[in-house]
Amino acid sequence: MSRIPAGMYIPGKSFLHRLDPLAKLIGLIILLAAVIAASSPGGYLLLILFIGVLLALSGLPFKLAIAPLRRTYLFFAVIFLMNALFFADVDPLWTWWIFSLSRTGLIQGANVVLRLAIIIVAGHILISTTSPMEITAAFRRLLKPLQYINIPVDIVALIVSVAIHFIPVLAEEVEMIRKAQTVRGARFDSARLRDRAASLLPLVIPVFVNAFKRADELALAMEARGYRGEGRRVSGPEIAFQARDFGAVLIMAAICAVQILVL
Amino acid sequence: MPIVLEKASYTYAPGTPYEAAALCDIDLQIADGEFIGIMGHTGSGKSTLLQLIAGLITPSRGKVMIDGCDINARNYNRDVLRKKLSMIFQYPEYQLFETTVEKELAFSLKHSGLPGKEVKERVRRALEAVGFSYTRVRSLSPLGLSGGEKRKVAIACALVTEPKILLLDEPVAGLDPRGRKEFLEIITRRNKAGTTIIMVSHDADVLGNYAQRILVLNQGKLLLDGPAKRVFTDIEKLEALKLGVCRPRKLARRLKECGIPFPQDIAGYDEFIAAVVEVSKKGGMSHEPDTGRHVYSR
Amino acid sequence: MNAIEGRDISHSYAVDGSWALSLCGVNITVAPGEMVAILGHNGSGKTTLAKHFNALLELQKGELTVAGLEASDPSAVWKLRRKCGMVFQNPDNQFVSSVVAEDIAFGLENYGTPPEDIPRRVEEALRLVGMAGAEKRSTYMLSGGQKQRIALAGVLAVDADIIIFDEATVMLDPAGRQEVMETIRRLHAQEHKTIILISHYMEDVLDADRVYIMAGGEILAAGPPREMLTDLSLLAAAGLAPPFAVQVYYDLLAAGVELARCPLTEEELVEEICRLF
Repeated sequence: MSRIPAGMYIPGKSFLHRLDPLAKLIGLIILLAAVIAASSPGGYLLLILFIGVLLALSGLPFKLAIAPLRRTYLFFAVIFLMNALFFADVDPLWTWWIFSLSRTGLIQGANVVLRLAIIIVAGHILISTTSPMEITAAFRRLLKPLQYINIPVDIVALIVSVAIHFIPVLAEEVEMIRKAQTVRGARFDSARLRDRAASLLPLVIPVFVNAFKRADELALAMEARGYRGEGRRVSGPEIAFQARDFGAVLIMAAICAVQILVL
Repeated sequence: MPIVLEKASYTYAPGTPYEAAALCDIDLQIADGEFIGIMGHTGSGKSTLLQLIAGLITPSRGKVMIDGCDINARNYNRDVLRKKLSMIFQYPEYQLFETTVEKELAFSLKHSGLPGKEVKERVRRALEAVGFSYTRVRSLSPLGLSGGEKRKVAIACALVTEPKILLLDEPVAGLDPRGRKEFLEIITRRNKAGTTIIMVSHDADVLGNYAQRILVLNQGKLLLDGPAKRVFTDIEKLEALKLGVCRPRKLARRLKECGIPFPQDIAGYDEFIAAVVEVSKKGGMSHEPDTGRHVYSR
Repeated sequence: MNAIEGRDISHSYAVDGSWALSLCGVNITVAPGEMVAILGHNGSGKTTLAKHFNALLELQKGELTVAGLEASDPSAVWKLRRKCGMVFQNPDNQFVSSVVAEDIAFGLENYGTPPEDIPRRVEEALRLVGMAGAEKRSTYMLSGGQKQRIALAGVLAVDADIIIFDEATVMLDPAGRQEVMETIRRLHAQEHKTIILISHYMEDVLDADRVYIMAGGEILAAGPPREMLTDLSLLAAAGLAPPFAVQVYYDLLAAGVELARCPLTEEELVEEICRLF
């Protein structure tokens, strides 16, 4: 079976491709701050323009860059509605049972969705123009100064490194499970929302269960290779709780990444 | 013809730098009740071919027809396909998710439109087909079972729809010899009862013992297509493609090299044993072997 | 001094509120440089036993010395794991990095190797497994056989003397299995590493120095492959299928054709059949 890393890194020679990965990473973080701060239509317009420039600089086809958005619109719809219908406002436009639609809620919902969309697209552009190796190296460099204020840099770098390794592995597995459940009758592409929602469980549960199993196995392998966490030897009947714990965290992180990028 | 592929082709990730032709102009006809083995090294398109037949992917060119209908046509009802066809992937136990074994199997029948009683009955039959007692396992949690039991449940999930066509992608991967034999016996029983079996496998011995017809894929093209015996006879070609050759065939060649008039169209184990018995009864060698051993006849 | 010396090892685990025995009074001795195979059906305790060797499981009962270190001594465990490494069944679930060199360096970093020495040792480890120059490759894009060899390189990089292969070829295709087994044999012959193979593939263990047959948490028998693997009743008791050549011998016998002796390998089988004529 062809090993295509879930349509993430696409090699190229654009300006963005050649830009220092650390610069890109820091740029993304600054963008994140800018996005959170944005609140006016003018602010959003500026950000969207910026994303447009990034897109041009990346050499990526437009369709490819916004691909993750197509997969997450359901998620966005839920978030939008949650905000629009549950925001406790003094002067609601319309109420019914527990729902209360308000202007503020609508604006809030739009805010959240727009911010998420911008960050997702920017992140996707970054990941498409930066190879996994470069990303890991950039993280390492980024976190290095933190060790002077006693933050366990190595552990974080390790977590990122493992997560990056597992993302394509998990993505492939998600795809396999989706196919297996489709043959069993699950309807992921059905027009009816109810069918799609019912098909989520047969997809999500196996992915999570298998991911935890992987985390367990990885933790064991790490222990076998002399990993001791922070130098503290945890004694117990089986593998160190600490290593397994940490394994679970990173797998969760990887799953979230996969769900957003692939589902 | 139940399964017909006409110039079917599939390209991976078209329009990206990862674009690759996975299958090229496949013409194939598979009749009811056949037991087909598919061989080819990794990347030859074996899994892609199965997925095309299963309707999981749409061909970039060409057609996939099942029972006379183009399964990718706009008006084709996929539910019809799901009732006729089941597929078992590699490590199928990874797909289990329900709270009880019964519910797990029932999931495959969710859209079948069958009444509850019939569903229960099919679940019972499927579990018994894999060697479980319905009453003992029906309320157990599938995720809490042992590895071997999980796999049996996964297989039962594919059998519960009582499919006409069963697709298998490396189904015995990770099983020990005993597990492998058990599984293949279940499959053979199904085949004898009329189910068409299409099995992808790396294990040439398994294919040699069970498949009647073998397809060899190489770089997306269908290279060889014929009865197992005939395909395995062409041992040099298979080795040139770096494909496994079943042991009975390899041994047949070795024995011929030693000067024994051993039949070369051997694919299965039982055939091999029978051939040794036969040849030993006739006794003697046709000529002095190169190894210089003494020749004597009975 | 033996590489592994285990006496009366027992292990139990909690299940449904009571205790189940996974190992019962196991005695095992492995000399340095030996290639030992531990065979058994799923659940026979072979993996449980193997996990005692590198102290992934705490020794509950019995005595165990590995590479001269006491497995029951918590302060020795970390050093022990350096001397006794393990390659696991699932090739993907052993990697901590998407870059080969970084992954191999993981063990070296854990054991405090000075950073300037690491590249050289990674290079050496890759050479030993026949993948010289693979430093910058992506771990995800490797074949199954290559992944297991990289995992092995990680173990070799920290100078392990004893290497355990816990069903390391089960998830590989035939080409991958062959790749890995060839590498293992080379390491055994040329580098004189002590090798422990946990497997149910008969063909992989035919040239082991010794074979232990396990079932139900106990060692049923131990001895040279020729003795162990041609004994049908022993294999049946352990729920194991005999090697191909052995199976042929007995099936021919049942059909009235007797070979001069029971062959172990396919080559021997060919010889014996030729001898009939």
